[in-house]
Amino acid sequence: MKLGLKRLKKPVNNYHDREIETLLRPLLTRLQLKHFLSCLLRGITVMLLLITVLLLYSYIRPWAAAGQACLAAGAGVTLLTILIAIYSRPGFWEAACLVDAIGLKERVTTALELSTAASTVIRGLQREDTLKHLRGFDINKHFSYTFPVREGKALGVLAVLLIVLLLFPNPQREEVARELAVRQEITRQEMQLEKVKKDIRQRNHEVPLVQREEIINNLDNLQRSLQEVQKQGEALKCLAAANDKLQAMQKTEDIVNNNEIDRLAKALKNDRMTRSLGQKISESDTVGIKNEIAKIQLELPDMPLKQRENLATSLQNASSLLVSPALKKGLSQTASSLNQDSQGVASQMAALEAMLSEMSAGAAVSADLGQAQLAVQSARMGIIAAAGGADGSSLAATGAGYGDGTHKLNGNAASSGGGSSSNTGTGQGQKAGAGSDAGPGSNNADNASGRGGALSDPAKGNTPLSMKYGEYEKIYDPERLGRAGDNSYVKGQAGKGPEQTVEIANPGVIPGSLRPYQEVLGQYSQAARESLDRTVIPPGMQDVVRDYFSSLEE
Amino acid sequence: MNIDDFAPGVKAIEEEIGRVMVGQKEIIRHTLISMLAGGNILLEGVPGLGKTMLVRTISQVLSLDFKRIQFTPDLMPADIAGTNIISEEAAGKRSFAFQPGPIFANIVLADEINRATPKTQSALLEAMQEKTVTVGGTTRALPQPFFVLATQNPLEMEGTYPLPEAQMDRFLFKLLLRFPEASELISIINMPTVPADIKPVAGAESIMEMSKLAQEVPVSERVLNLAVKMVLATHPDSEYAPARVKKFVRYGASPRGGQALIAAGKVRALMEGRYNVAFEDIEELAYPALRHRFFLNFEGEAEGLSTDELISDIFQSLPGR
Repeated sequence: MKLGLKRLKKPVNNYHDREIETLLRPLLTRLQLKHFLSCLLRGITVMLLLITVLLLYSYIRPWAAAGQACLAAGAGVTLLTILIAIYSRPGFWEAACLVDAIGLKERVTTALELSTAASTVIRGLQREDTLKHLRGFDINKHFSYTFPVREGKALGVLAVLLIVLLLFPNPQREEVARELAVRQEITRQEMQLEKVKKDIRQRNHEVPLVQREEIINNLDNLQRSLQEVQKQGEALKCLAAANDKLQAMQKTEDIVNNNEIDRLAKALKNDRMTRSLGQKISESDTVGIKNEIAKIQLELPDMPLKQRENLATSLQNASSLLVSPALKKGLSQTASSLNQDSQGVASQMAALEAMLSEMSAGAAVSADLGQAQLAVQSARMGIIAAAGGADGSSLAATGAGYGDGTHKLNGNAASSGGGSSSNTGTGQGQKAGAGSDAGPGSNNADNASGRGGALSDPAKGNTPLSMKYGEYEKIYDPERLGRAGDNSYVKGQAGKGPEQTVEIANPGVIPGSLRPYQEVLGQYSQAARESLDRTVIPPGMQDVVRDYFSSLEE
Repeated sequence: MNIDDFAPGVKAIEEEIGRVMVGQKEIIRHTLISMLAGGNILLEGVPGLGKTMLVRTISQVLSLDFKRIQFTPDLMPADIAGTNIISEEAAGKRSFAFQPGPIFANIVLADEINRATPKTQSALLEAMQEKTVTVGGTTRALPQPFFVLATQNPLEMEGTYPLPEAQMDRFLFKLLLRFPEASELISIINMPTVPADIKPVAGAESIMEMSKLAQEVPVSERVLNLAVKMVLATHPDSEYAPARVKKFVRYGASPRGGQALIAAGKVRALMEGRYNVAFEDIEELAYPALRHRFFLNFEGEAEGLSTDELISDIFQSLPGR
């Protein structure tokens, strides 16, 4: 019958016979060496097996952490092997059993057991007999250093298997690279969000503290959510939720005011006397506005008539560009009063200042919200681009760049039109609410240039999260280009101005009708050129659109 | 007797017996082991294999008093143990006097023991176990050493009374005599008809001393565990029992089986020049010591299994020693 070491049971008692132990020591050393070698080979075999399984899994399913998992498995198995090897290392008892099994016929184990018993004649004889046989025992003959062939074979087979496996390129590596890029991008976007929060905190305009903190809290929550997510889809969901919250904070009158302030600032900047005021308005600097108006008021008594007339004309011209009746009226009355007594001018100027300050504060909130939304959208674009490849990264970088800019937030034309449906609704609503020239024919470009939030909205479902990206991201099938499309109806916001329903053409795109970017770029460019020819678009914007499509085609 | 003289002494006995007995070396050896372990032996074999000659030769070599009892169906217990008879003294006074039976010897050959009735067979029980005989209310010690060497013929089962389990258990060994090899048969045929002159090599006293020495031989726990597992493995409901034991065994060996293994193992160890019992002692002696101590069920009998095969199974299936 074969006698393996593993079948030996360690004795409960601690037998002690120094002379027998001394004679057994050379054998024990070899036994322990063999044991450790065997454990090592088995450990390596198990480690290779585990790594092979993990690698095989990573070849079937994309697994970014496969490398780390293999390393961890290797380290774990090695540690476990060492612990097992130390714990199960053979001692003198095992050596005695082995010698007995090889030829000493239970002499040594019996002698060890008897070492703790009372001495008798036959026990003394038994010990002498054992020592005699142990001395004559040829360890080299019976127990030579041999390589554990069985373990070696298993190890060899697994090593070959692993090498073969490694020679084959991992079919999931692109997917893994994409996953890693997404994670890096998520981290980068977290930092960008931090920067945006810092900007909002440090900005010296008069945004109410509650609103500012709410914006920052939303961004904080988004950051925390992004830290927890690992996958693109989850990140996009978080971003969409954050975007929704930010959008919900946006007031229509603020958007209107913002547009009005833009127009007013632009108009005032055209005149030398009001340039500085226009600049302060554009910066939403309420203190600056107050100072500039005070400065004008101070100069008014000594101002030559011609100059007063010019100032009045400048204000009148600015008023003609405005849509908001209150502001329009305020400016117009201020302009009229410039030629009258200084007391009337002062009161008009004070009223104008109050109005502008209020509007600027609203605009500042809009600006903060816009910047936050832009940062969210940039993050979204960045993550999508990271999943899509190198070209996407440039898109992400563009988005981030705009996020750092001023309150104008006009950089969203670079994005795909994935989320235009929701923002179209917002744009039309605000126009309707203002009661101005809202009507059919507004298009996505208008909306995009109007607000920072014109990017796609994943929560509305226009961008499938699981879409496969090629070298470029996919874009909506341009099947609706050149025709009116179906009508949809958006209600204006109740409050300021009469409520009315406006009909929108080309309200959006059909979810899921995505095609590769390059395939549709030409069609979009052609449609844009045709639209430029037949639609009333400001000359300045025509060049912007042309330049944009030209840059894409390059 | 010195312990170092044990192995040479036994070897000398074996050689002297071997002068008369051709072959059957293992039987001679196991018979001596059993006798030195103080046990009785059941010899089983067809007629003419030298069972009686072996016993007679052993008694001559060991200078022991030898009696042969031919067991027949009409044999009575008194014919074995002896009886009280009325004897008349010279003065004319009559009294009961014990007339010892043939059992009063050092070696008793119970020839064809299974031909006697169970009642007569059981007359041997006390003698075999207690080494005493009780007749007429008086217990008498048998001469020391005392061995019963019984024989039985496995073929002629007609009109026989198989030994009950209790009696079988009293035999330390059951030895199976095999038919001689061709070369051995030639030697047997060529042997002179006049028996060789047997020289006594040992006496009753030296046998007793050797037996006492053997009892001192130490046994390690590992060996003891093996013997215990061996015995347990013959039980069909034991965790150590192999599949065939579970299926074909009616009931297993008694604790006497374990005692027999160890006692015989000690003798064998000394015969081998060792001062401790080894696994190989147990492995060799398990067959003669256990084969008659566990019993096959009907299925096992029908399959034609032997207990020796099951003992081999047990060795194969036993976990690490």
